[in-house]
Amino acid sequence: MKMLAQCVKNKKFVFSAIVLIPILLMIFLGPVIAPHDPLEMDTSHTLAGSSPAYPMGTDEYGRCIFSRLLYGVRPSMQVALVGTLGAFVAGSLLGIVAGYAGGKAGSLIMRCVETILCFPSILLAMMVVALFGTGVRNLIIVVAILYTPHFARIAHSSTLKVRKMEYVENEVSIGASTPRVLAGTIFPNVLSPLIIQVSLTISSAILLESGLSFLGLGVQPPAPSWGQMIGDARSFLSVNAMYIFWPSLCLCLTILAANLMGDALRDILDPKLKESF
Amino acid sequence: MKKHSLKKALSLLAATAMLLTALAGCGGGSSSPATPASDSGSSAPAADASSPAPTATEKAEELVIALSADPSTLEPMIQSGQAVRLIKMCMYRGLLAYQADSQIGYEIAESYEVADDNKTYTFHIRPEAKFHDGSDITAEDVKFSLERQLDESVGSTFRSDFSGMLDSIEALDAKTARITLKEPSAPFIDYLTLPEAVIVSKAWCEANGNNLDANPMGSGPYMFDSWDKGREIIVKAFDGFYKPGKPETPTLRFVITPDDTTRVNALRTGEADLIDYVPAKEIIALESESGFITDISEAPFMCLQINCTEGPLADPKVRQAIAYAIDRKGVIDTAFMGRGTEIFGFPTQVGQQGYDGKYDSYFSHDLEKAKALLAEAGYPDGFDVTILSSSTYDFHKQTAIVVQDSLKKIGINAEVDLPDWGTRIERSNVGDYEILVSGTAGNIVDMDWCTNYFMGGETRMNSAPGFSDSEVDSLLVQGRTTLGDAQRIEIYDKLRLRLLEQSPFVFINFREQCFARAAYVEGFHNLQGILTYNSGICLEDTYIRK
Repeated sequence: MKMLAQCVKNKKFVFSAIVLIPILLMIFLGPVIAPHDPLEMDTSHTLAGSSPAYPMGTDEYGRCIFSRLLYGVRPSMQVALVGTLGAFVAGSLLGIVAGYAGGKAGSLIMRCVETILCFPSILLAMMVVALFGTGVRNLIIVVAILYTPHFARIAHSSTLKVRKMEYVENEVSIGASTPRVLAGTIFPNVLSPLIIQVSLTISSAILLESGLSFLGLGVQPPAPSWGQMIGDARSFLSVNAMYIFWPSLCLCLTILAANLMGDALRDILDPKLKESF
Repeated sequence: MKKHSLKKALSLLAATAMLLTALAGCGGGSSSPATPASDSGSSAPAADASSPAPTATEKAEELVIALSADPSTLEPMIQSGQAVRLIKMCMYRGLLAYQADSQIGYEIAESYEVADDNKTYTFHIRPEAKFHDGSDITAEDVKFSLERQLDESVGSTFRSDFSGMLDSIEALDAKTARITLKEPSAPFIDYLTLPEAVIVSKAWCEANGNNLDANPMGSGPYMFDSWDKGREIIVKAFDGFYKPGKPETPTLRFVITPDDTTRVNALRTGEADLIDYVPAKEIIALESESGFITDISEAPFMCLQINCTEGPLADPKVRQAIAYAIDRKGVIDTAFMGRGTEIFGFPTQVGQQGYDGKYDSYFSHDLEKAKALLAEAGYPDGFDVTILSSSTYDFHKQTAIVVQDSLKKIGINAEVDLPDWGTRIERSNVGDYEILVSGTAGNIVDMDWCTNYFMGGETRMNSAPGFSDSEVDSLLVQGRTTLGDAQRIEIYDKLRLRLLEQSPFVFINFREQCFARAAYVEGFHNLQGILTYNSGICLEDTYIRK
């Protein structure tokens, strides 16, 4: 309850919540709210401006931009949420194990994981797409791989601190098995920084998926995605500027909100981190 | 105290160093590695604007052309698109070519005779014709080049056509070549005018592993200078070219600019003087801006090439269903901003070689009929298919997406595949697709262009893989070997009917092919009709009036 009060008091949290809650509604209620089928073409009214029939106008195929926005949030969110979850699980596991094991084994695990950090994200994503094809499923895998090291490092350094704590030693001395120690005692205590990283990773993942769809390597037409809509709209700036405006606005706000949420969570969950930069 | 000020001084020094590096980087980066030639037009001294015929000093040294595609190969006998043909026609020529006035004119040949048997052609080569390395063009080179068209390892686009026509080539003397055909062939001269029917140097090819992609050398008005892959190709004037006074401009720089918006903006900012493939919405925009000239030819047509080898697409009824289902108007409105004409029959313009338009309404936009045909063929619930197109040209991509939507309405679930143009050409050359979106114009003016497209046999860039119909084949042979105009009109009418019944190709619409240039560019124009793809011939006449 104290945490809830803290959340509400934090301005950043409130702002991000105001943006993110409608986004969540879009994900679940989008198909209900959308006035048109996002794939339905009306080729005699291409690139039209706003009208009662088409609240945000139409794209070059005469499809309703508003409906496509509502459906277009899903691939970004799917990639971001599932990919981040994957990175969280894999990274935490590797980090905690490496931290607890310590010594050469721990170092080896961490060094291997950290090689992924050498790859610029877009390049690694393009490589995976070139080898395995486009689509949401492969992007989820890319996100999971790319962000595992971030979670692993946090988990690792936190585990190093925590394993020397008394309550851990207590557990070990009463004969608890290693998995029980890791999952039951260490994991809950390293959770805070990991949760902060989750929200930061989500925002990076949204940006990555959008960037790839913009380039034509992510979600394939005719299925909509905000990044893909921005890419298509670019050719029609001189004809209908609002076409690029709406998905860009949505994307900007979402990423901003996700980032601010990460900051807010950092303030709330771990005030100690504020001191270290 | 001392330590503090030392720290301050060092950090100030570091900051200044960083700032200077940043400025130096900015300054260095903006100027492109230009050739020593002067800028086209912008920094020219005040020339005498009233003189009618510019002398050499009043023409710019360099003309910049922003090109829509990076060639995947510079091998001249392979047709890889209009953009590459612009470069090809600068560097290579054949015996004959369609000239800027849309008439056939002599290139390497200065004259020819046809014997009474209509099978024997004797070509006389210009005495002064030379290759870029200074060697004379001889009849041996003509013989070598025509035989090279038949060489499988070269992969010439028109190999099947030439091998169907050519019987033998002899070098009677250094400047006289005799070509003997298997049978009289009405379109033979037209085939010799193809930009791919180039004459190359036998000695050069033999010395360079027959690889003209790695070592380009021809006899056209321009010599190959450099190819910075993905960025630009530079060609320089050949002073041994057989047309006196040509080419007009010493250096041509083809800058690869596949993105439509960037290419058109390059024209607007003056970075480019001439651009190809102006998309429909930009044509509308440029027409209202001063200082630019748009040059339009409505001749190429969009179509679907269908792989007829196996599966549902092997059944003509299924292909006809597709022809009924496609929303052609939707394609025109989306991909071409409403500019273009639907094709419900065969893509021959009325009047072309005597066509009177009798099949122009063979198909219509009829979803019910399409579904009925599918059911008759045994696919009442539709099936899955992939459409190959390209992300490089927006209108190709948009055509594919509208077709995808049209097919969905009759139960066919299509996925769209959008690689870059180079990959798409590679795949289409070997038939690696189910349905292909294609934009083409036929290759020669004569109706015999149909042979390359519809004759059975091995897969080619322009053929429907697996399509082989004996009636079509026999009509094609008849059309080619018959020399009377009236009979040929009848033959080609029958051919059109049969091809519509079988529909290995589904024709969608005629579209505009547009070049745009700055008003100060003279001497270039878009040839009308099918010849739009031969517009590269004008580049020898093109110059910038300073």
